[in-house]
Amino acid sequence: MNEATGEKDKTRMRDHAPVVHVENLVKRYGELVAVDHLSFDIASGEAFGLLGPNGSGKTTTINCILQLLSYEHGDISLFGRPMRPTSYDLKRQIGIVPQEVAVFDELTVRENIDSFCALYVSDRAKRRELVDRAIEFVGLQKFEKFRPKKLSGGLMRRLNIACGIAHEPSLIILDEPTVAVDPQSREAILGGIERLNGEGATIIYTSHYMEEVERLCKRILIMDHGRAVASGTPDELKAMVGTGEKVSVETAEPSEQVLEDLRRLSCVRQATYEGGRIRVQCLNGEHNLADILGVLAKDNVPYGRVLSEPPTLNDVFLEITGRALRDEA
Amino acid sequence: MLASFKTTVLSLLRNKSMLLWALLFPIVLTCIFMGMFSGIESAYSAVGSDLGIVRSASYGSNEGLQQTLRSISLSTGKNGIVKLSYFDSEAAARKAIADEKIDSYLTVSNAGSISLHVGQRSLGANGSLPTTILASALNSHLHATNAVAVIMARVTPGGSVPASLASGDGVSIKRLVLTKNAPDPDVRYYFSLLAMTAGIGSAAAMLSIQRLQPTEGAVGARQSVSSTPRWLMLVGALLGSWLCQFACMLAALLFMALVARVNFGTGAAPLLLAIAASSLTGCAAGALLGTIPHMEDGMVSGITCLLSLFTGLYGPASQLITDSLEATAPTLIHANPLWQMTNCFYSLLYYDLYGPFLSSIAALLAMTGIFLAIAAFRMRRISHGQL
Repeated sequence: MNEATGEKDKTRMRDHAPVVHVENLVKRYGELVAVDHLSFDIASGEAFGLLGPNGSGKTTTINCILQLLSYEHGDISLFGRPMRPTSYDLKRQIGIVPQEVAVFDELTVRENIDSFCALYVSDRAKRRELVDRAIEFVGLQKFEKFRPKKLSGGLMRRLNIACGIAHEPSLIILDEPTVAVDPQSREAILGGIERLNGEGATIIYTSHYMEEVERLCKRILIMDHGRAVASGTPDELKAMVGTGEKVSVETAEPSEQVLEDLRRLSCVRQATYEGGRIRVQCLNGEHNLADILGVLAKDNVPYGRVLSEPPTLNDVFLEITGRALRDEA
Repeated sequence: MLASFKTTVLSLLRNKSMLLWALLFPIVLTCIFMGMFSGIESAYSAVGSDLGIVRSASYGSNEGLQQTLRSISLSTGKNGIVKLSYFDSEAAARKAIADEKIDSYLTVSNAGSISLHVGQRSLGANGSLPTTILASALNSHLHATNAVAVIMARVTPGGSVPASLASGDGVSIKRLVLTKNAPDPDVRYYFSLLAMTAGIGSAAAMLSIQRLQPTEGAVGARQSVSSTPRWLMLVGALLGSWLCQFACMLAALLFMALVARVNFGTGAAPLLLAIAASSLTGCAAGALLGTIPHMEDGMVSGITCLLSLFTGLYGPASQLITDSLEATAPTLIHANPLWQMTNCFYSLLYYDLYGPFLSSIAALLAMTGIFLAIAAFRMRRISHGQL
């Protein structure tokens, strides 16, 4: 194989390489293993979710990918090339939205975005366009001249995002960007992230809000104690565990016999009565609702509204780890 | 680098704490000094003592003494330091001294001996210096007269001393200025204040450096993951801090020169060089302090206040400590960057040649180099370390 062919092969391999490749990553803080032999790949254009409770190692993993932290073991490659602290050409393609709002208090909204954008783009005219686009993207046009302290929590978060995406990176890492944000701003932020992903950016989204991850991410890695406990699409994850839907039936307090009859069904894991409702936790099955309503009809229990909720990622996490996602580690 | 420079300048110019301490504080303190030291010059003045003379036959016959006194009289002498008044009796002179109308009086006994009687007023701050000079002049007159008498006795035994020789013509007072500009007691405070401004201003560089470190917060982490090499950001931040610190020192210096009328004794170029070097050293010290975890503005102010003690900023006691340390432990005092900054301005005011000034500048630049080297070493260690 001649040199030119070899170079072409390398380029082709790079083009098809995952945008993020993490292999066997280990990070320790003294005795504590924060990341324990973690491996995953993220393809170009993918929205990838890192889900786990507080202290599960999500932010540590992100910091290792960004080379903000040294690590004991493992390989990290971005865009097919090894990531090093001095890989400035790779860093140019990355946008980071940290968990904590990271802006200069003394600068206005526009100056802040321009200041961070200038670390990637030196051309002033081009930067002006990019800053304009970022401001418009997060909807801060009316607040351009405001200093961060005058912004609400939600607007600050939007500014935090604008500072991370203004240089139009192809890999955007968002570390819990919606913490302490009002529902309206949260919706705006999530909509914006969906748009960025729709425009072709690869997204890494970490959160312990499962509904956000489920909405945004095509593929999810669930972490606990620094380890990957499960990964796949949301549907794949739900299929991995035996948990089915949760059925809730409005009724007057039933007799203990009714609840016993429900528990005897093969599809029922648990049946309780609380708050004016019979709550039934089902296993995976095709006729769960029909079977439950059949028991109620047989026992002559009149009922009102019937709700059936599909299993959530929290149910998946609960089944895998034995605790809820939002529990403290 | 330009981005970091611009960000640093903008944030520092809008940082209220920085503006208060690095810009307004020296100006306010200058105003306070102006009020406090308005009478300090007269306290150190050698002019203005009231001397009474008791007229007597002995005094009338002592031509030499009369000539000496005329030479130091404000009304007749070129370099006068005393205002003469005459009394017919010693009792009248004693009453005048008791009433604090005069500082001292002089009598000549029948035997020809001269006595200077010093009153309480002359022991105050305003009177001790002229009285000392007066006593010194009289002593010189007596020594000269005695010396001539002894020589004449040897040359012409039994002969009398000619009046022209006994007149004490050799005694006169001359103002000698040993330095390029006459010593000015106020400037010590103002020069120390300029050094203190550089010290306090180092908090600006500290803040700028802290903001670039991933260990000190999210802003630092965000900048650390950017595609701009870290050293470029550091250089930009340092240059921005230096510019701001230089501007603050320049404002303080201009206020001192134009409003407080402080004599800096030199042209603009050396003064600009002095404040550029001082602010650079302050900036480098700030960069070093910025690499120390959890360092705060208050700590920088504390260190600056402590170092200012050894520049003489806090008055005579502090100046005494500084002077005695300079005599007994020169290395220790020379290692104080604020002392070097103060000395830089002294050199410009008092020396004809630029040698001492350039030595101080070299010392400041050497300190800058040391501070930056340690800061760079520390920053390198924590650059990719643990958060």
